[in-house]
Amino acid sequence: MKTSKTNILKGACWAMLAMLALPVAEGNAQEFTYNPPGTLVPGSGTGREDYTVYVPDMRYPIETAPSFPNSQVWGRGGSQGGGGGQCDAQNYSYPWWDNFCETRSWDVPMCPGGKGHQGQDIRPATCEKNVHWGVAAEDGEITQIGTYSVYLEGTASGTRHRYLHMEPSTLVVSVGDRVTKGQRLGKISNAFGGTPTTIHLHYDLYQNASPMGPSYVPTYMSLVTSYERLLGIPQEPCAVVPAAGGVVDDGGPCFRLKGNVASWRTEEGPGEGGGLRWTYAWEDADEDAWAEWLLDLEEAGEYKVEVHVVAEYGKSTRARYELTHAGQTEELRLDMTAGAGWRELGTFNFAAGGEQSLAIFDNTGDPLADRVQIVADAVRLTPKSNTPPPEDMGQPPTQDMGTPPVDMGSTDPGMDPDPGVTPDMGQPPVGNNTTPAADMNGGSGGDGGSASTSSCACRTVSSNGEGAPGGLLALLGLLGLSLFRRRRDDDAA
Amino acid sequence: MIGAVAICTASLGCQPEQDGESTRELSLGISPAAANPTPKESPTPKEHPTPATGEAPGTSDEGPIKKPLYPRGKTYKAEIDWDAASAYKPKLDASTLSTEDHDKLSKAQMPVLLPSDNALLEKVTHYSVREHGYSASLAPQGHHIYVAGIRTVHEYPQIELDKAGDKLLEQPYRISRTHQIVTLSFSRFGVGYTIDVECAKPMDDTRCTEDGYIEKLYESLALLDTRGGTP
Repeated sequence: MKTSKTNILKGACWAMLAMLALPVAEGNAQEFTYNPPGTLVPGSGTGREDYTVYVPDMRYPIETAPSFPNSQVWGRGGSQGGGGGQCDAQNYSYPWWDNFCETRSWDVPMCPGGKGHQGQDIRPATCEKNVHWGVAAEDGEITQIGTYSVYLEGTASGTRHRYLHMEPSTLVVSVGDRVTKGQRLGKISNAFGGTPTTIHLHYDLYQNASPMGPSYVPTYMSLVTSYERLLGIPQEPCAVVPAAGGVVDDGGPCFRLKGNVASWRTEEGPGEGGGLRWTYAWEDADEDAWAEWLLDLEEAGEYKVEVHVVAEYGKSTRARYELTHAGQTEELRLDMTAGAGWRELGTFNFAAGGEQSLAIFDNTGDPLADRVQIVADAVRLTPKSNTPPPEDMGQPPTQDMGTPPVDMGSTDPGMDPDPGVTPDMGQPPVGNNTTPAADMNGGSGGDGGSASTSSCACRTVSSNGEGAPGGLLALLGLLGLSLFRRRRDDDAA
Repeated sequence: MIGAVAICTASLGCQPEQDGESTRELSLGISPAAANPTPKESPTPKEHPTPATGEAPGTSDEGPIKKPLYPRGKTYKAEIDWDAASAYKPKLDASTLSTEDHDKLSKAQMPVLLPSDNALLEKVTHYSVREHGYSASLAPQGHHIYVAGIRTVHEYPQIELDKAGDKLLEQPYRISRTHQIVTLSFSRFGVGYTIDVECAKPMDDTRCTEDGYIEKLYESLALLDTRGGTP
């Protein structure tokens, strides 16, 4: 959690920059608020309370803010809207309203009763047609243009993004065009095959989604998160773990609380980086609360995976993890009571890139009545290879060969290129005042206050990445030599 | 529109409306779940207990704080039942396609279904083959048809449907409709398919106001022999 203050500073800067960069619009003066997903305009049906972001990295489908997803039928000027016109100011104000499950008679499996609207109606900044641009939500191909529709098949996500009611004469794309995220498609209007509708963009998402099969999926939270990005509200990217390894802390953007997030607690002070999360384990077959560290690696290879355990909060003898690495997922178990500090889960093969993670779940099997705690703090990856650490991760050089690596993530917020991943130089190099054995067990990557044990987790699924802890000694020696050379080079420069 | 019982802000997440102002710190992106645990009122479907310590002062009466959830499930390529595909009839007469189009569709790593009506196939304006599937765009008189297959599966293990939703999944296909564009969705050979029909005059054209036309399209689908495209 040490990086939190850093993040606050960054967030403030980003917000200020965003305010300067965005075109001034009246709606921007309001704080963006939205009704929860599944909360529909009263009388318009029963919604689905679904916080899932089905397309996590999409671009908001309208070029500029403000923008107002809400109901056309139950809004002012709509047939059920209680009077007024479509340009009523109430339609052009926050908060947003979900209308994915708004009353319709058509099959939508994800809506209560199996019926719904299957997309989201969005008003642009002003009640003017042919002014505001609809833009590509992700890189992809335009595969269909109908009388009042444009289909974009996303390259990365495999999601179909569908845009309705753009004015055909304003379209600047054709079927077969490759488009990039944010590229203009056409202007939002009221086109509806000769029978005008209100000025809005109907936008929906279609995926082959298990367990439903091919379906329209709720759009609302994907719109919320992409709109936050459009507004410049800080959403730090998850950083890449450098080839030299690093620490992914619960205080950074690569860590996510999931499931019933309200069950997690935060403790400031103890733990790697100055904070940790914990919850109680339970015996249910399904998880209630869980958490995930996203692991996006710069280089493929074998890495030792360790988790940081603080004894006061790690009480389960069978903490349950799932490691997804290089295309496979395996369950791991760890006796958190066997020792504090960095605890090894094993050595595993990782691919370069993302879609890899370590997750911890509360369904350990420990009886709920026993109040057995599990802790989620930090994960450390250490390459098994002899690759020396990169020359410059944006961190100041270590102060002294005899000093344990310093957590640079909090020293200069403006210079940290990898929020949330603290480049970890491993243990103090051989030759310092600490014995090699202490190096193995005592390197905490910064807080310096925790011990470490090297007992490995139990693995219930075999992996081809079995580790060899003894090889670390050689690695440490090379790391130390590398650091020495680097410092000598720095001095020479 | 009237006010809801809960309100959400960009970084604060969703909470019941309350008198207190949210803190500046929270508005700058600190996870509210972390900063303000909400132990007693959390919507814990399994009645998960409240941890006894670690609560933020003054938060015990607040309602749930929720934030966007990111999918836990995997995204993967569906395993295709090629035996079922081989046995499927009718087969499409490959001679109705140009060599170029046939070659293109043969690169789809999944069974390709297309309308068997030659007159319709002549109205294809674009074939697309991509990593996640394929599609055909057709523009017959007065309407547009979109036929697509999706091999990529997004797995959402946390999703639960109600009885009505579950019942829909038991049907061989589902028909939905928005702004009069009709969508028919179904799974076959382990992968997903969709047919869309959009009419130039959506309010007056029975191809869009009724289900019969899209159901006939569904029944007419033929399998293109894509030998060479199978893995």
